[in-house]
Amino acid sequence: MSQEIKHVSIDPITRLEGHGRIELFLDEHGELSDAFFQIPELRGFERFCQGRNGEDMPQITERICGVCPEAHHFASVKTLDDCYGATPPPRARKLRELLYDAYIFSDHLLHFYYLGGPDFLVGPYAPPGERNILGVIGKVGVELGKEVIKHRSYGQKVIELVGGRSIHPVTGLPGGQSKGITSDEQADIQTMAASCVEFAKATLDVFEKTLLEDETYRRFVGDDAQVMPTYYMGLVGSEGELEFYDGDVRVVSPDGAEYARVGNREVLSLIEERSEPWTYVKIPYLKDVGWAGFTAGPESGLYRVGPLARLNVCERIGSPAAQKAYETYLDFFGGGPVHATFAYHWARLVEMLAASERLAALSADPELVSGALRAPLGAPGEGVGVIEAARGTLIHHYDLDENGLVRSLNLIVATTHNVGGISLSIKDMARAVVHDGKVDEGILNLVEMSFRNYDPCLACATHALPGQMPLIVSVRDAQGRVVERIER
Amino acid sequence: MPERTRDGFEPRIVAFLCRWCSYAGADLAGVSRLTYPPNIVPLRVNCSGRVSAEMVVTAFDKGADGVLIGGCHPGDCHYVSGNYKTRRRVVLFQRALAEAGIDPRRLKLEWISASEGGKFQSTVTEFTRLVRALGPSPLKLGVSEHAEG
Amino acid sequence: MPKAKIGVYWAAACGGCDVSLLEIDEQILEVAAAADIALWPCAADVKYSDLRAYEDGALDAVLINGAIRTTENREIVELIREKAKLIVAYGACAHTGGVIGLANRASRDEVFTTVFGARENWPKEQSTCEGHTLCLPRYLDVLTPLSDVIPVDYVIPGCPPPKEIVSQFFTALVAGDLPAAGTVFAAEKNLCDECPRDRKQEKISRIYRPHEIEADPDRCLLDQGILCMGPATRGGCNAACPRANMPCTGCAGPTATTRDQGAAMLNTLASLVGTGEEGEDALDTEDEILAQIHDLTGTFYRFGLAASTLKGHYDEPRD
Repeated sequence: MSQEIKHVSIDPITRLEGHGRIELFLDEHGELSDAFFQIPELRGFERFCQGRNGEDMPQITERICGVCPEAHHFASVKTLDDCYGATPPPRARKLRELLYDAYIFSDHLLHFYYLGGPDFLVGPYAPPGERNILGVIGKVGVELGKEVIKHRSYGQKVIELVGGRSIHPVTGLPGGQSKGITSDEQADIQTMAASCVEFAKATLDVFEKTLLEDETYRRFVGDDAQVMPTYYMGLVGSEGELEFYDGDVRVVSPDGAEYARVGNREVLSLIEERSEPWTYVKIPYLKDVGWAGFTAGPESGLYRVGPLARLNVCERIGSPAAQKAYETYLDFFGGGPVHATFAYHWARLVEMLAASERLAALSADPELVSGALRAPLGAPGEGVGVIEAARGTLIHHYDLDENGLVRSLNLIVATTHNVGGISLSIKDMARAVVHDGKVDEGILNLVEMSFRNYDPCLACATHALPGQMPLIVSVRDAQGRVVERIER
Repeated sequence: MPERTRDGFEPRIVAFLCRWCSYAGADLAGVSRLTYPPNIVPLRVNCSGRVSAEMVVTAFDKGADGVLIGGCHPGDCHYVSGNYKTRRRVVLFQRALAEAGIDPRRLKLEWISASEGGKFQSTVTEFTRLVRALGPSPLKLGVSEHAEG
Repeated sequence: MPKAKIGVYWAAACGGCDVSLLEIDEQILEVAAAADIALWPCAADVKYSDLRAYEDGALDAVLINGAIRTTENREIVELIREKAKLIVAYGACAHTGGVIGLANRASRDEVFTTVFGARENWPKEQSTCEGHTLCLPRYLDVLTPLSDVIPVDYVIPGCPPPKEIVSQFFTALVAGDLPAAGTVFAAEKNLCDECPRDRKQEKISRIYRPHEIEADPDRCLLDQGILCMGPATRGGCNAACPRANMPCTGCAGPTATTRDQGAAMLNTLASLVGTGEEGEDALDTEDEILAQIHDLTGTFYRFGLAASTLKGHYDEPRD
């Protein structure tokens, strides 16, 4: 009997950010033997950021990703706030949050309509030439298509008004922002934000009428193979509310119990990572649980981040319409934590609504247009900044020397945390849909759909802890001078 | 331009010399029959301040192993302050070379007046010796040799 | 008339250039009406096997962003060059190497040591796992811009290119009205030409890093001692960063008259630094001012290192 093993490549994987490839190996019965999620790209930011001016890091690190540059820009700026012992004044903080809410809204919109959503909006078995934004517009009509384009442009416009540019913003500085917005600009943002709230609600309607009615989608959210009981990580506010810009890091275990709740400086000590020779990305896992391979469950340190995770670690949303949407979502799954991977699409839209409501509420705040933009800085030292990128928890950690130059740095970038989960998801999906050696184009797309849940950003993913950089905590006096450095 | 000798490498040095001071100093060295190594390509400029960082870059790009700039002593510049600008440019460009991992001594600035034929001779002799010891400029290798990785 | 076939590809990239193509908002519908998307990994499901199956010259235009970092980047852009009539180097990484060109200050081994630690943890071009052979492209020792590897017909600079320029390009493409080959879609003059600030070209007696000062929004940043790459950088972006009260960082690359963007800026700065009076007594002060620039490479070569003369990593031993 032939032992010929069939090997199928999905190369490149598409409708995501970054370079990736999925390799499927079939056994002699034509069933799945193994599946690998490979990332063939690496650019080395952890190396070339060494020696850079600390204050240049927001604009340098945001070039890790042009889909989520705002996340890096503000993780970096928050890290610099910490390095310089500075607390941005309320006006600067609110400007940053305003931009950040617009970013989350815009990035989630992009994923649903342009990247992962077309599989369901047009259909998973639709011809490949139609499974994209143009196919979506063809299906839903030009009027709705223009609404999609218009609202993405609203999110981008807010980013541009506060950040100076709609892609790769520039206004973040340690201790504040380089500029504010005018009252006219604020009024524009309020108008746009109100429209974004309505659009986010309409998108949830679209979801209910398309994905929730789609047999394939319902199968996957209910199917055991696509339900992975992992740990989850995300930021939460002081009252357990969903947070994007700032908060404590909370990790829950597969049964929903709290595993850890730590401040920004402690999160790196929770995580260990491992390399594999067949991919340029490293795979983080919870250190104290340990690595048990690409498996899910309480004994496996594999954890997930992003919308599914954030809705599992938070206890409430903090804005009314999104709170209702969250309750509907939880009801469908019989309460949390929700482990169905395909629920990411739904969780993402709940967050899109939450972000738009926050944008609308904050845009009315008079403090946006009056008050100081910058706080005084102490001497440079070490700092950590944690933020929730659309795709998950993003951690920057810099050690600045006495001239404010980067001596060393750590970055763990959102999708990196999900690499374990993605690897497991694509393998489970391939095992479920590949039989008798049959791998047509539609079946391969189903395998891709399993990773699209995560809205992966692979340019981001190839950045994780570069070796053993100890965390040093700088203790400051009231004038911001470093009085003690404690190594952990 | 000397052929590479059997013993080893002969550096190629571009020397930008200002017409009012250094170039005249070079002429004086010649007229006085002071010998110095033939490795330099002398380029006369009206003022050392004419030498932009881009001209230095071009020299290295086109195969110079060392670049020498000769200007007037501080206070003597025919155009008053051109040489001060040159000095600041050299400070910055030497730092750029050093940050790139190239020995910054490959770029040298010297003040040589019209009456300093001897100083011209000793400057060129020393600099040629230094660059010979440093070896061929790493900038000559070009990217294609690197890119095979 | 059959629809044109256009493509977008990313080499070593961040995705920002792909997103920038969407900033033309509704104009994308006109483009889609005039052209089929034959390749766009970010947004459409065309695979490498589909690309290989196209006839040579079948694609009318492909916009390639990203720099050449791996053997896969190189192989695919060479393939695209065969399949496309026109190639556009789109964005700073394709144009001059971009920010990721800063990695050229380290060898591959140094990068891998930083990222992966000990050699036994390094990814391998070929490895075996559970009996299956897996391959990865080679990370090249030196990153290069696109035109070092394939001939390029047009350049659209910027990180990412500004939407007005992208819009202009697509208007010309759709109308079949592209300019002469070799055109760079940006201003011919430097950024200072379109910057609204009031410039007096004052001497710089102290250099301020952006976090050390609250910049006056109306005065030239260089006049205030803040390092701005405007004089050495192509315009066309409407001076977006100076309008945001931050200095230009040079993302659109050098003007046509500048051979090396970093060197050009060093030059300009050297001319400006001073206390007013030049003379022997001023030399020490001038050196103190120049010492206030810390990261020369990151400031002057941030986007253009891979296209400059100092483009690689050099390891001359120093005493």
